[in-house]
Amino acid sequence: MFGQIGTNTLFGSATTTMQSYNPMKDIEVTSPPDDTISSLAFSPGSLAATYLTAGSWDNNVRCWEVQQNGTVIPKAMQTHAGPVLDVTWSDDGSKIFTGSADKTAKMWDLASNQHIQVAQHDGPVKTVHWVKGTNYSCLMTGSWDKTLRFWDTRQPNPMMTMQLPERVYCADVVYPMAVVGTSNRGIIIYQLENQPTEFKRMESPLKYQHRCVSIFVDRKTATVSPQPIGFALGSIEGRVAIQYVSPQNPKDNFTFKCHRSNGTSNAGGPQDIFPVNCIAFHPVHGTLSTVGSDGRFSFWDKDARTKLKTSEQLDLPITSCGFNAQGNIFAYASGYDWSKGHEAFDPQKMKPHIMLRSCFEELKQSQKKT
Amino acid sequence: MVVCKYFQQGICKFGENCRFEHLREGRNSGQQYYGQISSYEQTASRYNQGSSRYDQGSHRHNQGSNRESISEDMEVWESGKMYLFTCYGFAREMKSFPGLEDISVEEIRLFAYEANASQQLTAYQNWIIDLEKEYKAKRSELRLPDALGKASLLNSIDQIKQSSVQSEKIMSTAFTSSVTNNLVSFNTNTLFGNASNAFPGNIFSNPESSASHSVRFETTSQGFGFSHSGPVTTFMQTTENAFAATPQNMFRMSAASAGSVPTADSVGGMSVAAVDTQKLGNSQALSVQSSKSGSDGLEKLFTPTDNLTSEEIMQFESPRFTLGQIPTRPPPKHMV
Repeated sequence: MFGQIGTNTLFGSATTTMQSYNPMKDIEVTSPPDDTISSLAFSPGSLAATYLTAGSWDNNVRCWEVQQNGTVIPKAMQTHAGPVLDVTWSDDGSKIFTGSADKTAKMWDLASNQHIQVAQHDGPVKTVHWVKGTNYSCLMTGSWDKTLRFWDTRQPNPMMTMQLPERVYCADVVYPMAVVGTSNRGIIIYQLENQPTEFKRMESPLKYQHRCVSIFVDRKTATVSPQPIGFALGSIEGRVAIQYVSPQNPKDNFTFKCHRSNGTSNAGGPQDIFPVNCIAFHPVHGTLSTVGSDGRFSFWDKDARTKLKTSEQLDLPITSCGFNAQGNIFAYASGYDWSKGHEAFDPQKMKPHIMLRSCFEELKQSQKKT
Repeated sequence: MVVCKYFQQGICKFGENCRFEHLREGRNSGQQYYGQISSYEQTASRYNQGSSRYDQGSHRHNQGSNRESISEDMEVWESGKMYLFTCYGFAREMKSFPGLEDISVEEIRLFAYEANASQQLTAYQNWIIDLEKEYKAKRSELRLPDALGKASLLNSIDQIKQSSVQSEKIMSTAFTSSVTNNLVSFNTNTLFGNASNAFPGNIFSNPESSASHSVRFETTSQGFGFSHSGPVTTFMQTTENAFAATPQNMFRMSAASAGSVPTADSVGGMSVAAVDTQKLGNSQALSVQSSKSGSDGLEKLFTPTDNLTSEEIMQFESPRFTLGQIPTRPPPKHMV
């Protein structure tokens, strides 16, 4: 392993070596998208095999099979009329939903390889989530047109439309709770039982733009019947807020800094502050991962309030991440996230990659040292 | 280890029992509002104690240090090379500062891609350059406001705090008329403020309907060039206006952010804005019409009585909403 990739530079051809785009030496997904990956999602545990889907700014959504021995096989691809902004799976793993800047969301039936439109908005669809409830199932789509819509995929009209004061920037669903992070630091929580209803609007615990949100469940019942109790909210200011919907103690809610450079202490000069691009919770351990524009991923234990691990720095920002259903694979995608604007973008040098890491042990909760 | 901010000002109420250091000499520099915990490993319970105290303290804090913390935040923003196009709230759980709009990286990227596709790349680049100047100007306004700016800054901080405090009051008490009277006066002053400056500049914050918002994305090359340069320059001229001269402008922004919920037709939940819609009635409706580009008619703010279910009517008629049965539609006009 050692040395065979690094020697590329000696022959002068590649300007980026594997050392720079994959310093953690994780497994690379073959045939990655041609442009930045906006969203990654693993297939649900109801399927026997593990599949990974990724939506990209190259307008495509791709699907790979990930085998336990580390082999990754590209399976299929579909296209939107605009960049794909979010992807998600149905609960039975038979369909992939994709939301795009072309103002539609589509359903990809994997068995028949059909990709049909199931949702329409007046603006780019930024988030898609499948809601599997006790007496109904639907697709929830959030858009920059300031609406949140719920779709029965067999009907052309939405079951329900929620008007929001702001654009939807991020969202997450763990039945019966949905959280939507909007522009202008808005947070709206919905309860989905019977039918989606707005539960609470909160002021943000963060001072800057919301970037990503992920719901966490009560660890005691996590593997049996996950009950959502709160969410992690990431901002562009290198900070994540852990927020309980009904905290037993107001001190349960807290924020922490992450994805900052130049060390951790206040002294030693100003830190460079990077946006947190994605947060994902481990399905078994309840610990979380964050990925940022600084090109690193970190694992955290929110209950022990400690950091478990930070990766080496990749040469590109990490734009998305996710865990598979069993919690033994961590996927993260690197690619330029536009955080430094148009001038900094060099499509030739900034090829996106998706890496897969075996992570079950690394994400175990922090053990108290006695 | 961590210096007590109140002790340095001579107003620490904990005295000997204070969790933080009571030092006699000069303050530690680099303390941010969030601040005291630098590494994540420190016990966050202490951190939360501190911040909840500061939240209470900010109400009785002299306004100078609020301005200082904003100033510090701006410095960190700049030195940390943070993303530029973001809104800013000077304290957690307070509304955002008026005048700074959120633009996400994806929105900018989409514009760039579309500009590229329609050969409008230079228009996009010019727009971004203008936008950068605008945000940097606002940032330095917040950081070092001149005399006029200071006054309106403090005013707007107060307004933000009031609207956030009042939202708490409303949520916990019955909707008494005294509270609503305050709200009415608060909002009518500001909502009739300079309508043309409302959410200027930023194409996304344009209070036109979502249909026109979508038009921007589909727009032809001409539309792209013209529609964006217009608002931006308008705003740049009025930047001074927004921050320095007219407190009303800033009111308008924060009021609009409070009031934007009802105008978007959702009056559900326990938010303040829901109350605003209910109680402000005609004044709100009128000013909303003047501020929007005529897209939302008056009829959308109120539901005709026969469209409401009897439960909703019951809710509107009762002095207090019952949790779990709060109507999601606006009330009929005669009930406001």
